[in-house]
Amino acid sequence: MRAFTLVELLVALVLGMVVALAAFASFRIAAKSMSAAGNLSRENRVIAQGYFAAMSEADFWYAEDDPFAASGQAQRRSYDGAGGPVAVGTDRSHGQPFAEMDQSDEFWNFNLADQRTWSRQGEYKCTHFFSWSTGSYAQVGCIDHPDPSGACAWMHVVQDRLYSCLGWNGYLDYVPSPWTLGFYLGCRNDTDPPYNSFNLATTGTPGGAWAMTAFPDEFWMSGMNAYPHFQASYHAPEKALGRSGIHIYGISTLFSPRPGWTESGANAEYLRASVGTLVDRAPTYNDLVPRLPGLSASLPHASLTCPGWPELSVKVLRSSDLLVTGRTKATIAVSNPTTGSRHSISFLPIGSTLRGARQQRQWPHWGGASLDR
Amino acid sequence: MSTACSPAARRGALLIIVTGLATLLLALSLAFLATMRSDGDRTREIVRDTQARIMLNAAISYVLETSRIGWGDSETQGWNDIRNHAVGPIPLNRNPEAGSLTQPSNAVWAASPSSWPAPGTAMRTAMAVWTRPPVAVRAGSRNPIRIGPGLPIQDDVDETRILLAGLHGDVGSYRSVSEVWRAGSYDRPDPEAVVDPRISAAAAAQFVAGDQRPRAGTAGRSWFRVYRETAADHNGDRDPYYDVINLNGGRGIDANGADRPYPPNASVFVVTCGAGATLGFRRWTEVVAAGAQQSFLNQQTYFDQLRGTEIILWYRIEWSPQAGDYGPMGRRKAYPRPNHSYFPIWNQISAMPSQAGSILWTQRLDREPPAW
Repeated sequence: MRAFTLVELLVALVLGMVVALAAFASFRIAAKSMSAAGNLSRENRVIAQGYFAAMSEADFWYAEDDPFAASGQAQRRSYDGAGGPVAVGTDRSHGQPFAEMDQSDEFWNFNLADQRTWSRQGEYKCTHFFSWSTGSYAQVGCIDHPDPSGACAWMHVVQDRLYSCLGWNGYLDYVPSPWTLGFYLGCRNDTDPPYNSFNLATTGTPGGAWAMTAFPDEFWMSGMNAYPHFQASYHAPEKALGRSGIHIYGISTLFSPRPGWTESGANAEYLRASVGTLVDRAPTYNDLVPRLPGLSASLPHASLTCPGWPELSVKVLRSSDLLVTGRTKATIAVSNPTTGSRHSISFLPIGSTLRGARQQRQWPHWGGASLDR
Repeated sequence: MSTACSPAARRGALLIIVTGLATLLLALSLAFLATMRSDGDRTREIVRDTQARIMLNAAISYVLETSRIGWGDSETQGWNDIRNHAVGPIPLNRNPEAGSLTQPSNAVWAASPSSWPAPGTAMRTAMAVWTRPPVAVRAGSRNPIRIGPGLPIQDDVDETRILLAGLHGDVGSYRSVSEVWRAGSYDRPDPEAVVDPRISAAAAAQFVAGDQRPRAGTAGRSWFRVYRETAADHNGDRDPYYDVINLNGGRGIDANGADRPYPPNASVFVVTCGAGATLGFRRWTEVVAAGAQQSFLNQQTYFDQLRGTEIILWYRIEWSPQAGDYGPMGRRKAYPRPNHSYFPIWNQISAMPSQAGSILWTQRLDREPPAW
């Protein structure tokens, strides 16, 4: 039998090495491609998971209120300024967006043909408004106004109910547009303090019909952020007639998630969010940006936390500002430990409003809570 | 005696090696394709969900526009008429008191109370982009800075000029060039018609009618349906499951001075948002009733197959006649300190309001409603 010659062997070796090298390179490229594809696929899966988590939050408000467990329902009652629970309507208390609320039948079947729904709030003034004489528009309408038809009191009672029960941010979400924001309290005589729709005394200036306080102190000073908004600027209070006006010049109203659902473990800011607007006027005055981690809902995603997988962060921020009332902003961020890349996607979904979310919690299969009556 | 190095054996070994390599490459390719396929499916799911959610926007726009802007040539006064809260829509020039408040004889649905938009009925819209919408216009050149006499852009405002010039910046400044309104004329209209209706009667008709042919690639992607709830759908009796608040109550003095119960709330809708190619038909029987079988190859199984791949979302919304928020337009004359009572307050004007009301609330439904 004929054997290989040395030349044949050398040629065969070289050819074999070329083939092996080509095969190795092919496999290396294929493996890299597979690895890259797998990596991108995992990123896509994470992004998809984040998208649907954000949409679910936009639709159902799970981060703000747990429909199924009392421990996640911190925003269903009123608090005092220190965070202690108090009865709804108590002076200097702050309602919460998911607290129970009673309204008149007319509110739920809003009838523009009924004169009660027409504004009787005047020009936001009373006789002693920051020491300027302005006239008393509280005579036009206020809680317990003596008008026998009740038309002059209705809107004031409705607004007080909304504010007392739901807090500033809940009030702002529920109040029909374009109602004038603000209401006059009731006042019995020149010496007693004014009172709200719960017939509870409220901090304000006593003085009867000629010196009636425009709003509860908490509404004006905290809710509308009177000092930075008006006193420290040249802007007339008349501009704050509506939900847009109250938010001019870097002012926002936000909702907050419940504890444990905030960004980076920050303290939940639901009490502060219900107290009033937040000012973003850096660097001189800014109580918004430092609080953002406690105002952003950060959604858990335990199902996608395998070691080495891309890390997902989903944030949902609910806010109202000058341009938009009821904006929901979702941000999905993915950081990939394998490639070191980081992507962030933001979008503004249309989901349920607060009123829709409260009704969801009253569905029988969601626990049948009684929030709106 | 060894045969290991025979030419036949070498050829066989090479074949096995090549086949093995090819198989490995094939396996890798298949795995790659499978990964791409599943990624594509996942992406398509997001696209479909997004398309369905866009339909919520479209449905809300539809509800707003049909509330006030009108039906055909008739401007109407809202789903609950703003004059007396009767169940509308009722044309502006018709008496809303005729008939009863729940069955107004002048409502646009009075002649056929079992058809849309009567309460308890639904409408369906398959969305596709028209080649040219009705009365299509295109904007003129950006910011031509041609304004009428008496409105110099560097001037300041007074009560007269703000009436002429309309709404301006948040402190009433005219100094922003972008706020200058366009000024058109008859010989140079701005915006101008895509099909000039002045050319002929036929052109005028085309201008009004538009071109309904769908643009390529836009048909069969998404649709929406709107079901107008009856009073029983929101009377608080928890049937359907989302009926948790009585939205029909209230009693008050009407324009005639009579104290009477409010008409029921007729402004609540169930919106169904779909992404897929079923054109918004709920069932095959609907397809048959509409004579649209050919759209589905005359096969119910094909329709069912399309339905199975769709994303469908349900929402409830309530329309309100309220036209939108006040805006901080205009400014006080001069720069007073806050609340100086002797300065005239003439700037209490609103931002440009919606001409079709607003949506009071939206609510996602987690289960299929009985009617949609």
